[in-house]
Amino acid sequence: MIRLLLRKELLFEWRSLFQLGGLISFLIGVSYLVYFFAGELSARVWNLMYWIIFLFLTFFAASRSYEEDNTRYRILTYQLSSPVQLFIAKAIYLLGILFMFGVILMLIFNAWIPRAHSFSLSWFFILAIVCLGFSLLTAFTSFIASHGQVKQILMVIISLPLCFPLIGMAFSLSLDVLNGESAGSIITKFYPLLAIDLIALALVTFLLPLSWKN
Amino acid sequence: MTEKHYWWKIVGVVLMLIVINRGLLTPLKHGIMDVSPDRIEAGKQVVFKINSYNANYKQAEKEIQVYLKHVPEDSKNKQEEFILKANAIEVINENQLQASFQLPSHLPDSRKVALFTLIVDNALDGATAIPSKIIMLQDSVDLADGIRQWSSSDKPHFHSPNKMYFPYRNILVETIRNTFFHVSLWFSMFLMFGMSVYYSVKYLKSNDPDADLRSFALVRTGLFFGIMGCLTGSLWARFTWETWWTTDIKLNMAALTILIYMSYLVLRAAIEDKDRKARISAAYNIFALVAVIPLIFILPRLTDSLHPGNGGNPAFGSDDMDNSLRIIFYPAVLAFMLVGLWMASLLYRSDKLLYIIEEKENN
Repeated sequence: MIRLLLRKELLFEWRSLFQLGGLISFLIGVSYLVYFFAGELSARVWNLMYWIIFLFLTFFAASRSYEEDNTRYRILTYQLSSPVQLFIAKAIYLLGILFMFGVILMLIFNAWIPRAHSFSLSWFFILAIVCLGFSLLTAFTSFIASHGQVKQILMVIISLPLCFPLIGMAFSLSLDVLNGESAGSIITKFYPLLAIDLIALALVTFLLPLSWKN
Repeated sequence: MTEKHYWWKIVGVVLMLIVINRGLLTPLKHGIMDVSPDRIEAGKQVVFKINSYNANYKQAEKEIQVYLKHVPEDSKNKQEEFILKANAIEVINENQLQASFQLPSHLPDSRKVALFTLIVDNALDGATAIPSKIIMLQDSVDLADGIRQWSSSDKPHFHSPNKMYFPYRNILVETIRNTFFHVSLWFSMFLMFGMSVYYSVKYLKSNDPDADLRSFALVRTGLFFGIMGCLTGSLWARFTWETWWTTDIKLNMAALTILIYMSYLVLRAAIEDKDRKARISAAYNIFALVAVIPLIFILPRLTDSLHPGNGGNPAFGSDDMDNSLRIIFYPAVLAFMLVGLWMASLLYRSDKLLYIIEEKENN
């Protein structure tokens, strides 16, 4: 079922590819802005820029999650699948999208404002963990926000504080990576990040079925 | 409503009055703000000028004693301490006095430099000390002679005051009273949020609109307490850290907590359908508390922080809380919790009335 739902997500994406194109042009535009105006960047600022752009990208990408299901489709899908399955499919799809964008952003940054140690295995590991946490959190908040009015703004308002610990820890971890520390020395700092992901996963699977009934 | 239902409100109000009265009016114990000189040499005559806070030196002029105390760090016997009594004391005014010492030629320590504590004792105010403030140097080390010379004076007798005092702490001074308000506000905020999560879970299980109203009222009260906690903390920071706000992690996490719950209010306002509003906000409320706990309790402890209780700073250690503070602090926590619950129940009852009116209009 989840595989079917994933296929549905991909199909919807394929039918409106311009949305992905819009996100990529956002990435290129903002990175160019940074490249053009920031000049020589310190590791801290470079890192900050990367994660801030990534954060906003996440909001844009995630706020579409429950958007494209208009009422007709919604009733249909909800009859065919369980909310948790639908949610997991959306979260997995979002995870893929976010990771892809994270890597693209990395490539763009490295092309224009290169930085030593940034293109490393530990960085991708951090990115993967953050993407997992973000996809769970923002898929949940976009589900919540889809019930209200002014969905996009509501989505940002409720996600921003919830995403803060994750982005904060990712920031300090990746700063260590940028400063050239080996993966072995920062391995213990990965655990809190993973813990947050697990907490988010447990909560979402517990809360979704409860908040679903209509 | 019978007496059984509101006894806790009376307890809360009485405790709150006691806390406000005793917490704000109990005087501070006298304490030494400043001593000069703080760098002295063994074997010389020295006159200390002592600046105190809240003392009654003029009234207690006859019975004032000043001591220098040293506890060697490397001593095997932990009880070992050396005390020297001042040989002349001159009171300048209530808060200032001069004490002169004839220092022995050697220190009771195997190093050339040692730290000394200055103690002022009088019958009215009791004893007070400024720990490890005075640095004494010696030209040559003679441990045996030092111990002999420093042991000769008789054991001092320290007075203890017969009134209740709050401890004097340098830097904190009078702001030590904020403990009762700042800390209790945060404690009761967590009680409110915790209880509101309880009602949220109850709502999700039973769909009872009553539980949703209770949960909403508790969140608003908790948020109010959180904001007040932030304000009192900010005021405290102004006096101790000399700034209203810093980028300290605990402070930022506290601000984030407030933000998370403010977005709860935004969320509630943004959803129109009542049933859906209740369900979605209950889910968000549970999520919020679980998100807040690592923010406040785990993250600040992992990094450096100025805030007591974090980054290796003690919070309720024996150095900071003594019994005179505890006797007010515990009732203060209870008082804020009870008054908070009362506030929440008032909010809930007014919401409930509005809800009933609306229901009637719809039918």
